[in-house]
Amino acid sequence: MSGDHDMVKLISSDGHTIEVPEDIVRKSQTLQNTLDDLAKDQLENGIPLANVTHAILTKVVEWCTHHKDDPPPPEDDDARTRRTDDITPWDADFCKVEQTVLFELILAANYLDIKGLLDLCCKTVANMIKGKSPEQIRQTFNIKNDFTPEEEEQVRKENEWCEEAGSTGK
Amino acid sequence: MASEPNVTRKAETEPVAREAECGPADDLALIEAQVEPPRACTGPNISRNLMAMKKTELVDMAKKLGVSSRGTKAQIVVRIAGAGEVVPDMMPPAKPLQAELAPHVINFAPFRSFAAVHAEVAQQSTKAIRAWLKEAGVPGRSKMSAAEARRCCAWIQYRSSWPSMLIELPDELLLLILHYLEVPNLVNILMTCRRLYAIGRDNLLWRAHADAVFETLSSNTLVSSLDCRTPGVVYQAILDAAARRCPVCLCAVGKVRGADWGPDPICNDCIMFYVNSSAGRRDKISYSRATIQLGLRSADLVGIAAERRVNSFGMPIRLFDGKEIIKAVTAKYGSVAAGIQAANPRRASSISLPRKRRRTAMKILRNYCLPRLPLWAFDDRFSPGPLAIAGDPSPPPPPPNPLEIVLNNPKTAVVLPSVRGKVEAYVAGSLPRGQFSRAVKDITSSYILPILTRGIRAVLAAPPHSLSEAGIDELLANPTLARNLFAAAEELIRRKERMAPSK
Repeated sequence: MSGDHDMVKLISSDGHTIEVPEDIVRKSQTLQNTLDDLAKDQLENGIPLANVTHAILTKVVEWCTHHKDDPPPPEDDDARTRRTDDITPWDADFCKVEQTVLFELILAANYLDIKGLLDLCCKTVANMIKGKSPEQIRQTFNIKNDFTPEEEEQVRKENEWCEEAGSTGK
Repeated sequence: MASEPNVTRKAETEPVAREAECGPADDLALIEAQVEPPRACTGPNISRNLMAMKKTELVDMAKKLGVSSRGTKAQIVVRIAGAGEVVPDMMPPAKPLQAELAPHVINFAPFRSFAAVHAEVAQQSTKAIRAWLKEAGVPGRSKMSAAEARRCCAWIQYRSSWPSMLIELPDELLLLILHYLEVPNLVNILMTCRRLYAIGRDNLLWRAHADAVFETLSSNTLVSSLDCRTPGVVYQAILDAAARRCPVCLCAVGKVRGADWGPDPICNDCIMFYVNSSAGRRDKISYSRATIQLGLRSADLVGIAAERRVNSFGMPIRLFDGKEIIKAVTAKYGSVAAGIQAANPRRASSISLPRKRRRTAMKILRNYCLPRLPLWAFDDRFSPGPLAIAGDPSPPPPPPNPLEIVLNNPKTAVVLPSVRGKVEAYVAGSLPRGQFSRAVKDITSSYILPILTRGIRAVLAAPPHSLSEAGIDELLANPTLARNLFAAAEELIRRKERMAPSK
């Protein structure tokens, strides 16, 4: 670890402590605000992260370290495209984890306000959904079908137009 | 425990991920397996457990139940299963399949996803699966059939204790994920369960889709599809157009009282939606015909048009209604007939144009003329000249100041001294308020009204000043202060309009 950077202690929800360079910690908007608000001596004991486990925090730090030189993502939501095929190979490899880890990464990225990581994980989940039928989506994500048969029929009818468009359109 | 934030590679992080997957999760799964009530004797498990019994046992059971004990083992099982109510009490304490395999569930639990479980099982050899079953006390077979292996996975799939982490995400995160889905995928996911159904119908989400679609839609495609009046076809056209990345078109919204609702193109680059906003039958028609499939209400369409003030060519959007169209065509071509002829010279000869029936003329205008007229036929401000290039950074020239138009108009110049005299008298107190109002009203209605009408709303944007506080000379010399005069005139015009219907 380079000695040029101040190290910040992050305490995960399961009590582990990770020391991370400050410039990497500042990739998280939440932590950046914390660093700006607290005095140095207040940071000596570390910043507790009640919603992030050690394993997930390690992954988050890994991502932030790899993307530490990236420019900040655009703030404007309208400018955000719907593309999900623009994931870099490293990011794609990073997201090849079990669903548990992936969803916990989403929650952690949201909690820590790391837009790039949040977008990446959401795109990955979206890619897992794309091209699947409702039943396949249920199986993939273990979603319980809680529609009554009548409701299911109604929902199916409501969305019949899309099936027609899909089957005849292309 | 302090650890370095190593720049990790996947190989290095895998143990960490595994650590997260196992550990507490295993304990939980074990507890779940232990406390899970046995369901061996109910539902589809009956046959499975019966098949696990020896045939002699089945024969005894069949005799006790009073069903035939002849035939193959499978046939006996079917008969026993048919007498389901007494089976649970008569079943031997054979371990239910789920309980038998519970220790192995622990191995699967960290995967959470069924796809991962399937993949894991598929990688295991039949021999391994047999070993698991044997270890769990399941009666051995000479051969482990594919069906049996599938069965092992099947109940894992139906295990409902595994939470769906997707569903457990907060609404805003789910919406963020749905944001990346195209319409067909979005529809598929909202058909999976109630929660996603509710979230997937978010107006903003669909509005974003509609915005994106309108930006890539050919007006001709949409209009021709809407003519079919089939929502599915409409949306198909929209999807097709979106896929083809057609040139951007704009969507304008107009109101036509009493006229048929329908999308009417103003020009080849623009689409006009006539949405009758008054609550009533037509509003429902418009809702059901076009907007419902986009998840939008009429108000949303109005909102879209209102928010997007320019189209891809940099041309501003204007909201027209029928009267404005007639007026614009008449102003441009002299008459509606001339407008039709100019727009469609080939067909004009075949149209018998009614002379006095204004409504019919307007219908013809819409059907034959408007689709072929460019937008700038109605208003020179829509000229595509320097504004026609998408992304042109040069801003459109500002419209002329209405006040300057009024003040520089020769007619106004003639009239203003008269107004000035009246105002002077009124301020001096020599002219009663009633007479002053009537005088200004006469003057404005006779001379100034046609000119004022165009710019008076812009003039009124500034707060009014008190006439008595400002000098009359200054009032007429200073355009800012002159707004007072026009404010008074506007008030008179309003009064006149209010009085008109009662007469």
